Amino acid sequence: MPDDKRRLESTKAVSTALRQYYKDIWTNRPLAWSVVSPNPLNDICQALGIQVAYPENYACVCAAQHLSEKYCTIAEANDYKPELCSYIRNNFGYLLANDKEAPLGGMPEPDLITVVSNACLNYLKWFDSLRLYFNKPIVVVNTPHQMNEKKTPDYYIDYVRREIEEAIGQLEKISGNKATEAKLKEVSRCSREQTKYWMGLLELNKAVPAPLNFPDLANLIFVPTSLSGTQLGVNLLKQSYEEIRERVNQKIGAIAKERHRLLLLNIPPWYRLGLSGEFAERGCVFPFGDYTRYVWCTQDIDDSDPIEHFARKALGFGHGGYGSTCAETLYSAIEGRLAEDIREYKIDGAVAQINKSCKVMSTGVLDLAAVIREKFGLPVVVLDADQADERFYSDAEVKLRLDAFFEMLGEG
Amino acid sequence: MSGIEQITRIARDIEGYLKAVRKKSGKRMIGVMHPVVPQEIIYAAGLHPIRLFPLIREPITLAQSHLHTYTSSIFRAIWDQTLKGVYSFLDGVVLPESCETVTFFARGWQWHRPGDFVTAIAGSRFKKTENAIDFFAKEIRSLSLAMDEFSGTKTSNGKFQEAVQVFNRNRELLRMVYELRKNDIPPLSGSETFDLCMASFVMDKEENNRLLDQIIGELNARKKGTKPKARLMVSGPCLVDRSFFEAVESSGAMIVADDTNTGSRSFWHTVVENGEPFASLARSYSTVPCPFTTSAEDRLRYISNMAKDFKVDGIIFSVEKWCESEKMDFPYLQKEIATRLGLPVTLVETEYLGDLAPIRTRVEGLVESISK
Repeated sequence: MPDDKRRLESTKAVSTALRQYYKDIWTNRPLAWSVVSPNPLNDICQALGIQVAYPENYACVCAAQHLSEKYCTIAEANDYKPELCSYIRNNFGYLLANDKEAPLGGMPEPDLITVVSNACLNYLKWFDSLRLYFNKPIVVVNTPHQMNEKKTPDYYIDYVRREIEEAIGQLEKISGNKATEAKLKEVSRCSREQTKYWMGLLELNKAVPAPLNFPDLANLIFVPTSLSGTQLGVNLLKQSYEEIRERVNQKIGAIAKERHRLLLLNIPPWYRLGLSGEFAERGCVFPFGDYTRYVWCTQDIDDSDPIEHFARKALGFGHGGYGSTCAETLYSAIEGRLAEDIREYKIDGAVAQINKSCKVMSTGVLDLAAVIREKFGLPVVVLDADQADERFYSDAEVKLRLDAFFEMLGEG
Repeated sequence: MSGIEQITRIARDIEGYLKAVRKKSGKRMIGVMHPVVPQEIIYAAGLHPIRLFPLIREPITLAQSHLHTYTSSIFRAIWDQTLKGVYSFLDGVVLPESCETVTFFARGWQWHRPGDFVTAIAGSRFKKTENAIDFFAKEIRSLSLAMDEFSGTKTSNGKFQEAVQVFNRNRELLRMVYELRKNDIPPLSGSETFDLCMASFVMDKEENNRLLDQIIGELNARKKGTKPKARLMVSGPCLVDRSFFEAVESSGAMIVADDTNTGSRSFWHTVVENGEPFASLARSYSTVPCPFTTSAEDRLRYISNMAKDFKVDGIIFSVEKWCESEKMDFPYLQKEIATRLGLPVTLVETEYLGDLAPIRTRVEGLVESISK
């Protein structure tokens, strides 16, 4: 089958939805700028008729179009230092550049800012800075990192429940709309349905050959991140799920000749997604990564009580058995989900990235690489690659490392 | 030996001091990161809390294979020295949800040293609502239970109240020392204040209180020196290198105030005495103005008050290279300080064992601009 025919039909619908989404953010009001990380406020905004836009997602778009270098440089000239997350620098650079020809039409100024603290501190600082930059109201939900135990203590749930209830009150006031129980139930249902389909399609990718490669997953992740809490998101994921199931039945793989199944650790360098083509040429496919499997839609959470659903969704990001941090993934490599996934996805190598911008996904990655090598006896290559700042990426260095890695796989 | 000489001696050999104390008192020692951990809980459980800093000046080697170089060099140095056995007197650590490196490496510490007593505490970011205080109080209670389990005791209410009194007195005495720095000719330099704070962060609190009492008397009687060329304030995270202070003050300026984790942020708050201990501690510690708990706007308020009270001529932001939360606030703080306070600001980047020459040059530029 020619490679262009391997592209999922359903990703065309996702691309159409993405373009429409970037039109909607210019027409629908009020508009909130928000963080993507499992953020119940994004679902709640849907219930209140608040359009949500994501500077984080937009930074990926800019990086893919090789514009983040320009935006990061502008931000740095305005005292946003190079050590800050490249999504943040991209965002402030974009704002300061005042580009008329920005990708996908750019992002309009927000009416409000919403943020949860589950992902990382820098995001909270970033959105606090945006509040000051735009002089707009901010709605903050604290979702503490659970650092000690596997089981989430009840008082964590109670705390985040009340945080969410307070936030709903604030958002109702700002939007002038009421978050009725029916509306909240509807968006929490959509949140749960999306999770089921996302988990389902990742489950299908355990098949050999894998029906999805990393670029497909990177494309599809737009849905649970940016269309969370919407029926459109459910429909898109359902369509993808059904198409992928059909591919599994017909044994159609994402790449022409699959010989190696690799695990990808960390956020990919969005400006080098084409790198997967080089892997594909050597028979390497990426059926999953920690970024696509352990960050969003990681567990099926009961939605009979929407507030509880949202609280557990937000808390799931931290530590505690289902956490999204690299440290949790490290623990799960001994006995837990990563160990199981390595076996069930028939992984035979790993690409581990150190990502200057992201401590959540990078603190512990060296230990994780060591465990995968020692416990599973698998080859691991460690790359230094920032998620969006192309200036920190060295093609020559990456090539050198990958050549050695491919030799270890017998693909030199 | 004068009190000032005693405290300077301790500050310059913290490792030796703590080993001797440990041997003498037999008290088990618990290290904590950052000013947001209520150490009263540790003290009340009969343990000796200390703040963690790199104790020796040695290049980071062992830690490099666990923590990549994009993480805080201060914490990497602490981890490196832990691996090298420098903290042999330490029995455990409390790591708070704070800066990125500490938050995400708490589990890494447990991973590499499963025999260590490692516990963590979360807090509230930015919000000081009743819900946030209530959550923090429950976290402090959990910390207390962990300490009791570790120490094999059951901390009584009386012990909590006693700990709050001792720590309140300690914070009060440190503020009294700072009060003297408001004088036109401060009786102690920024470097001396650094020594005094660093020693206070690791000493037994009652012993430290006695020594601070004595030192305040000595400072009041000190012969006046010369008026500094400029009165500077320093803002930043954990400043652990005395030579930074010496480099700044070699310009003829004096550091008279600070907004740092290793300075005023650690003792500008007071805990309500004789109240319900966990709630009182939560309410008080939630006001500690670290960038990881405090919005940029609230930080500006703290810095502005400090700058006005101490009649500051300029502010140096001394920020560890990989401390992103400090760096995230900088563009806003710089602009607002210039606009609202009319004060010159300079940013210098520091790293563990970093070169001080560029810092000296920048500070000289700042001092010259003030002197003109």
